[in-house]
Amino acid sequence: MYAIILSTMGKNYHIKLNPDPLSRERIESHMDFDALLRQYQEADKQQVKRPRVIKLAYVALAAAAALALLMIFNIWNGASSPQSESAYFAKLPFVNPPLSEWEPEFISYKMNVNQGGVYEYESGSRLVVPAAAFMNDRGQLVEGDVAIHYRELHDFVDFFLSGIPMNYDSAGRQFYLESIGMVEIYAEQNGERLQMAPGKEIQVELVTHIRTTLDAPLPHYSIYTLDTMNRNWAYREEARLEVLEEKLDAGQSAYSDIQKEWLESRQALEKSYDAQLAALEAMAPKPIAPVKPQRQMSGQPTIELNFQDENFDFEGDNDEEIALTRKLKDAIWQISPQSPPYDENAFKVTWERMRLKPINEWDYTLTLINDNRQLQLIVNPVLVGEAYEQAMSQYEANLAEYESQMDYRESQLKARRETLLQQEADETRFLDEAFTERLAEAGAPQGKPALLAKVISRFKAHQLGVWNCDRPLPVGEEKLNLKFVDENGETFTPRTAYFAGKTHNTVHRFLATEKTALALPSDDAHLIWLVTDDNRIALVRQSNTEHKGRKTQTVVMKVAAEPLRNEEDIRAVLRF
Amino acid sequence: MFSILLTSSRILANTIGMDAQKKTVSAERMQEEWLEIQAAQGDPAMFRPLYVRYYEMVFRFIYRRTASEELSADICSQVFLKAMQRLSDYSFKGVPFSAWLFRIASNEVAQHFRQQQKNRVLSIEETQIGDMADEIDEEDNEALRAALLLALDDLKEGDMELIEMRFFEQRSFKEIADITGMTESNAKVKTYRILERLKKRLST
Repeated sequence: MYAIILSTMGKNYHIKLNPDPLSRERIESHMDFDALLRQYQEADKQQVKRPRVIKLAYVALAAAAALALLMIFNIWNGASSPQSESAYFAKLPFVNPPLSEWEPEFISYKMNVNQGGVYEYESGSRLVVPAAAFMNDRGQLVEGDVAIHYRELHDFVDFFLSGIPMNYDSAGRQFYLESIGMVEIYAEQNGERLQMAPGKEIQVELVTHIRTTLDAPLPHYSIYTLDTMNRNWAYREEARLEVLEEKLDAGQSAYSDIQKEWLESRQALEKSYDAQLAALEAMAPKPIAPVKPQRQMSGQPTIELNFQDENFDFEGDNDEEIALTRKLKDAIWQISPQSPPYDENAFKVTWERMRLKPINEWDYTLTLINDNRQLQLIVNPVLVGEAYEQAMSQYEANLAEYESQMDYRESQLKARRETLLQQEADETRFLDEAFTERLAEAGAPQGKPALLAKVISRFKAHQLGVWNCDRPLPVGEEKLNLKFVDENGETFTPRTAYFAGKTHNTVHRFLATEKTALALPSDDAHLIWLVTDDNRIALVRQSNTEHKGRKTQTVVMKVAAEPLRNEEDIRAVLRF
Repeated sequence: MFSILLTSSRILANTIGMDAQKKTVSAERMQEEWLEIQAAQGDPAMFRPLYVRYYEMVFRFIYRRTASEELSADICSQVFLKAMQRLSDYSFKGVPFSAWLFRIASNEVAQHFRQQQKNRVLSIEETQIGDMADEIDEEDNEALRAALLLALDDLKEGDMELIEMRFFEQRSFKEIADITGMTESNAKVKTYRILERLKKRLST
């Protein structure tokens, strides 16, 4: 999709039809609050002082009187002035590790930026980083070695220690993000933070676990990125999860053996039918779908490439090059809107060599080379005029042929496939009935086995930072008024506190004051804790806290006797 | 007359649907934001969260009226500088803070084009001009769209602002009222009158 700009100069207005849309990133590149603040302070100094002083003095007197009245009122009521939670957190860094010594560590990989790389993490997760993927602050592609720093966060203790907020504001509505795992990636060269080059994406394959039951559909999760500028999360896409393996959830009862056998029998059955279905599909290979030709985008610059030139290199396999040469003999190459920025003077320079490398069916990396420099662009093959019309006619004919072949193939396979699927369903039902009976005879509660599924979440990260696979949980409407004290009855000075529920993998941070209005999950055992001035954890374990209307309930938090020495100590304290 | 009545009722129906979907700022949120504004009145550095929250919104508002990224960035800086300078006079009157910023932005854009003695930009998506054509005539066609563009060009700045916010930025009458400082019913009545004038102009 792209905008066609039509412009009409009227006598009163300059009417622009379909203006170019601006991306959020583009707009954010103009943001600079520090510069604005300096400008404000400069302008403020230059203002005439005298009338302002008089006005300020008057305002100050009024404010002092109001403050005195407020203090008298507070002393009368025995309460301190409530502090706004949003104002409190606005003053703090958005990502604020509470115990920086035990912040989850990054693992670092060294990568030659000209080659890209594939990196595997201990959890089984994988990063696929393309070549020429990074640029510096000035928008220039960087070359040579870069360091890629990566970490994964999986449970509420990780989230707490990272200081990454899990609160999500969606158009004014508050949620917690219940996460099944998140990754944080950043890149550096010589100590300078880098950004992703336009059009480049890191393929992330995050391996994590979710709790489910046999045959239950996977819950829906989404991918969000942490937007540190707007101090919020930004929705990106639906998460695509694939189950890698399922095993019985740990901590099962005395009936675990039967449940384990049930699961293994089901897995064996599924494997056997998957193999039969694959063999059936292989009997009639699928025809190859034709690729739709693309027309040149309005206003995008184009260049011509001569595949016959001896200084032209194609970095794919030979068959691919031959196919490309045939298919695209009439194509011209359009510089993609996703291409890194370039200087137009580059086209006045004589380039000695060219290299073309496919990224996918539509995008190619074109590298122009001479003795002094290299220029890298992302280009797309496009057609114009009659060549496009001819290619479209050919494409439509090929598509009709392809669809007819697919219909024929389907008519050959459909009946046999349905028979196999029906057999599988019948055998599965018999198996389930047999195991349900065995569990009933053993006196076990009914229901299918609870499972721990190892899943992979695949997504493409077009920017560096924190990427979270999660789902939003609404914050409850009903709030408790809580007062947090230590075992001696001393209240804590206002500070950041946290709570986590047993069944939802998230952590919520809030401002604990003498009177804290807090919505706790009602169906959960939960932990509430804070970090004391001497880096100890004060904690309370609660379940189904009773609502007492507007009355303030006092919550006694136990301060850990031993100082924290490592992450294990923290995990030992924060257990349900 | 009958046709105008139909048009009006259709706009009202749209308005009800739109308000339900649009981002509305709750009274609780406005109160919370008022605390942030008060903090910024005491310490300009505390203006940062408000700047971050509204920068994109204000930038887009300006960009629609200039169609130039660089010019929008300049005017946007001016808008926030003026907002900081006038913040001490700001008091909470139950209107979202964003409306106050849009009002400053609208004035800054108008001032810029006055000084430059140039016509300001009106950004329209083709589909929106089609929607507007639908609002004032049953038969939308190329000729009608062209005539409508000509008729729009004759609108005064104040009238254009209403049409622009209502049809090209899909704002609710409540939001338009907050930005322009008029009452909601006044915003509605004025918009209907402008539509009526446009329709008359198209029928001649």
